[in-house]
Amino acid sequence: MTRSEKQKPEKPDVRRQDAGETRAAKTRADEASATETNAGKTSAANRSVLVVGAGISGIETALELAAEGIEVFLVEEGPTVGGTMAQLGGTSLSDMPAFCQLAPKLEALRQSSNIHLITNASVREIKGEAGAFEVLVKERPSRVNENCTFCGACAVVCPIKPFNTFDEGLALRTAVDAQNWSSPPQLYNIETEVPVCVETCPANVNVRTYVGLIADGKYTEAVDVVRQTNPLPAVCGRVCHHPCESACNRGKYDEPIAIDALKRFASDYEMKLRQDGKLPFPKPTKKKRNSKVAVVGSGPAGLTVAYDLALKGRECTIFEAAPVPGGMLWLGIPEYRLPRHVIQYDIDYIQALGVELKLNSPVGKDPSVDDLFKQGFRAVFLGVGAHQGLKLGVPGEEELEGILDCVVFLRDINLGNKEKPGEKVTVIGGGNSAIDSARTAMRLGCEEVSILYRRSRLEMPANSWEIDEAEREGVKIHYLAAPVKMLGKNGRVSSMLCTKMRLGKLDASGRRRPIPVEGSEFKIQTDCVVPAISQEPDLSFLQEGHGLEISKWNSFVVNEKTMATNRPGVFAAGDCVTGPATVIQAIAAAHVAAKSIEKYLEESG
Amino acid sequence: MSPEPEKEMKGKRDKPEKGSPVDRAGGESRRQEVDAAPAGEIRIGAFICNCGTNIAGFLDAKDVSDYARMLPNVVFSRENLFSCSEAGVTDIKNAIKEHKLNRVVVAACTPRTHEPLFRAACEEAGLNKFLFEFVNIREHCSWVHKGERDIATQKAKDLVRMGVARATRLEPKEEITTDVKRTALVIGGGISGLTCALSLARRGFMVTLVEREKELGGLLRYVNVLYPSGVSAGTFVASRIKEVKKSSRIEVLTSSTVQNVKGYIGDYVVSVSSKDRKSRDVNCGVIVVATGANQLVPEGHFGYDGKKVVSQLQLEGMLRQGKLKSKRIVMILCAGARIRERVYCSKICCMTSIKNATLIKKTVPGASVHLLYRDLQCYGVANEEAYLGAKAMGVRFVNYSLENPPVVENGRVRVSSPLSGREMSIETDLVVLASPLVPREGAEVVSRMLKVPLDENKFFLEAHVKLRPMDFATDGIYVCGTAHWPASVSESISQALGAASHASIPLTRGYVKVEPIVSELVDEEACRGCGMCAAVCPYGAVEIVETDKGPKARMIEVACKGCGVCAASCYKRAIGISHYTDEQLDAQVRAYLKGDE
Repeated sequence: MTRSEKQKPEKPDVRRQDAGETRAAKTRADEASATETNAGKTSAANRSVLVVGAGISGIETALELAAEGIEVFLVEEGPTVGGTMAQLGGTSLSDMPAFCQLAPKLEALRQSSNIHLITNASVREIKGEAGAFEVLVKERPSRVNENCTFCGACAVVCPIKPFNTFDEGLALRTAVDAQNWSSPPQLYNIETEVPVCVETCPANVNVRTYVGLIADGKYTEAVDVVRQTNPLPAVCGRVCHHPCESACNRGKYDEPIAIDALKRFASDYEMKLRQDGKLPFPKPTKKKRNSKVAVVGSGPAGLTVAYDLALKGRECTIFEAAPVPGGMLWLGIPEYRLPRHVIQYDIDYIQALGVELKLNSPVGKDPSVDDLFKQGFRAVFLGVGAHQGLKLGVPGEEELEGILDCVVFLRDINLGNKEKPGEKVTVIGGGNSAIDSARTAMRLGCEEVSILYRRSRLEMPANSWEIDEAEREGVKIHYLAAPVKMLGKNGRVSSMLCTKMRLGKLDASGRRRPIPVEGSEFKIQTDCVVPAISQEPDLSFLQEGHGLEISKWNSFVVNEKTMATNRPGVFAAGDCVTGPATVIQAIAAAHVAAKSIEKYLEESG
Repeated sequence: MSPEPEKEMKGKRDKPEKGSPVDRAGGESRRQEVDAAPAGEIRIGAFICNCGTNIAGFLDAKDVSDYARMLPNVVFSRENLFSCSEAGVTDIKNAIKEHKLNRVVVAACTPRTHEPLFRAACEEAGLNKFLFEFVNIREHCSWVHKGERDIATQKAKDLVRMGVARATRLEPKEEITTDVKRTALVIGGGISGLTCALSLARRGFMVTLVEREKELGGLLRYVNVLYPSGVSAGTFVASRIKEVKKSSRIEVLTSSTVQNVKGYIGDYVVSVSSKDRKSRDVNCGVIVVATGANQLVPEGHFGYDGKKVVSQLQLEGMLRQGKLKSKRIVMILCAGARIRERVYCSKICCMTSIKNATLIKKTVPGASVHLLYRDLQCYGVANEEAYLGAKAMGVRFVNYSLENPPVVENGRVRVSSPLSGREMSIETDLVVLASPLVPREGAEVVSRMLKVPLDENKFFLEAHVKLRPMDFATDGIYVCGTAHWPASVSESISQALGAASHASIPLTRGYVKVEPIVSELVDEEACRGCGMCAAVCPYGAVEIVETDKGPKARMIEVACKGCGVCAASCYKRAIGISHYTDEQLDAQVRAYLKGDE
């Protein structure tokens, strides 16, 4: 047979789905022993075999089959073929280097027109039976398109250097890599594995990239990367509970990368540049016509939605009921943790994109959501947060004065009231709000501040460093204790009857359930109790007949994938959907909402 | 692919047509002519491979590359980190196109593995693949001159210079294509031969199965049960035999032996003689050797007498027939194996012994089994489990050493175990010797007839331990089962299926391509038909035919392996080897002698 006869076989029955990520290979298996065919008379067109794995066994099988004229689909999990043998120096019983033994096979593989090599792929589903299998193969995108000439220039400049798994982690490689450049296919590939920090972050902020940029001294570029997925870099640099950092692989070796502090530093650096006029704020994005979106609430969720949509050219107006922006950021988090100018800076940036922010502008009754639509807003986003403190549910709570919910307490302080709520303050709860309340009370000069928590320190949801700081500042924490009854004098709380608790079996939250210890009651002298056990959304602002579906936890019911409420054009995300959660969780949910709003706007013309 | 450069070049180059006689007497003048000015411009590209540090670690590859560029006709040279990598091959292809190369010299490793790769690269770039010359500066240079960098560098230059000289005289060639008869002959009717024949038949090929014995089944006929399945070996092999006999595509010739083999891949003629029938010729495309092995009869080892001291195969027989009467059994492993006369490990005796020891423990109440071993081969999960299982059942494993082997006395076995440091004296009424598999006595005859090699233990030797484990170096002949090396039943079956799969490639295609490196009658006038060449040819590739000019030698190209014995024996210098012409080799030698001048 001459070269000209060596033709590519007819296009195999391979169809791509999902933007090239999945393909199905229809193959008629040819366990030739099962089919009594006459040699030489069978046509190659309907005979094909799928081989899973392209190590030496897979390659040899594929070559053997291909040599008999059978069409072969060779599916390999990794980016290149050769398997373990390609990694070896030599093999037993042969003095030739392992790769030298492999190389001719690889070349034969590359040259065989009967073999369809599918790398970066795995078999997902096998249907049918011998003779007529249909196999679903999922291909991971290589993220390098077919124009790649294998010049290698990308690898030279690539700043991301993960461990090289091909040489068993002895050295680093680059994120864009050919893995084993001696093996087919001759393609660069960007590994799609998500680093643990990025994966852990609810908003999947590209941590690896921005930390890498900071390492390279590219601070403003780093903040730009953060802003791709997080519009509040300065805020998050201070108050994020940074699960990324807790999960950081470096922590297994010594200490995790100080991701949070790095972000804070880079955004502070950028803030300083902007404040000194050395770096301009971004220009407003060009707005599309008839694209008004109303955002109710200027907390992390609302700001994120407005930011995302502004970048898409939508005209966003944020309605904030409070006289200050930021929602819980301003009203809930004490200033010592999150300076106000930092919040303001992130909001300034968002406003610079052309987002309008209206303070003292509650929405609900006047204007109602319906009114907003009438005013020409094509979509409404509800990000009103969870500002209603939950009751303790103990006797005396309702009647006595001096029992002040943490939300109310913190809001008052954060709006400028500097009055002490009492002298002996007892905070009840173990979350960040409880710590915030206690530390704030300390700062107001209260004589004695203590925290009552019904489980042990291990179960405390507050950030551990916050607990440390609170104790260092003199806050007393009573673990395994819960209030039973509020006792008062002259209509004001004077002491509290408490019980000791012990921990039982794990509950639904994965923490051990606290159980009261019988006969262990004790009294605490106090003149101010601050319950900080949890919050729920306060949806009383809505007018009658708003038509929105509300859950039994007093939150909006939304489609989890789109954040759409039951009313067309109305979306919700953040604490008002999930109950109290973190800033970054609100941002993550708001991204989803923004995406759906954009889609909704596109689809509804 | 763009215009075919080799055709273009054919026109330019004053080259005799293939097969046309060349005036050998005027060889000197012709060489002059080539040296003076070939008709077309010769443009050689030289690629010096670093092989990572395999080459560049021991000689100055850059220096060699620079040197190559200075050589006559070389228009391009460069180094590659790994010439065989994708990048290296692409480099070569690009250079062929960019620099209009019409000869390529790669100085790297061994043609045994890499010549096809570089030839293919040339072909892909539009160059006839026989215009490629491989210079081995790794095995022949860097590896043998480690620590002598300057000398190694100089030798590499010499080798490259010689390669370039030969490349200048290379000519484009076409591969020889020959049809393949779509039938197979399997020698040996044991489990390997049966499996291989069945597999080939199921693929649709006609198979002739030749068995020396009266019955099919081989060694398995004497085995009791198979491990680890516990299936009766007799039943198992009988079902295979039944299938073989039922198949309309398999012709079984029992009590038959191969007497003579002629021909080559695609067209073998095998004479098979039979006790009850006349001898006959079988024409087939491929041959599979599945002649199996024998168990060594352990005469002279540990007092073997076949009664109180028996072989493992005899024990199998006793178990099969329910004739085992003994209760105190001692097995001695490595009986006749891993000793000076027979150094190899037969690999399967350990598991056979463990299998039988377990079976005795299970079926004979109150039996004691001692297993005396030197080392235990229990590779694989199932085998290790079987070993642990036997231990748990109470089979006693006692280590012994080669220096101090067990002594079998009347009713006792004395053994000193280096592990316990004690001498034990074990009462016994049956000693079982696990003796190794040894090659069949007929293996040498078959090897001579097929012209395929045996290893030092007289087992058949494959073409390459890793790359071609079921092939022989001779095309169209394959090996499987214990003929190749001691193997368990499942290993034999895997090999048989592998050999069948490999043998199916030429059978399915219906044609094969053969390297055109064959002998040629380059000077018909000079040939006197003396027949010396035909007599020395190991492959039967030369015959003497009557022509109108008298008796002349004629080459059967497809059978020729290009060994050159005929050419060397021809006192008239009428025979040459294509692609390794006298002229090409002469140029290489001259280039070497020229030195650095």
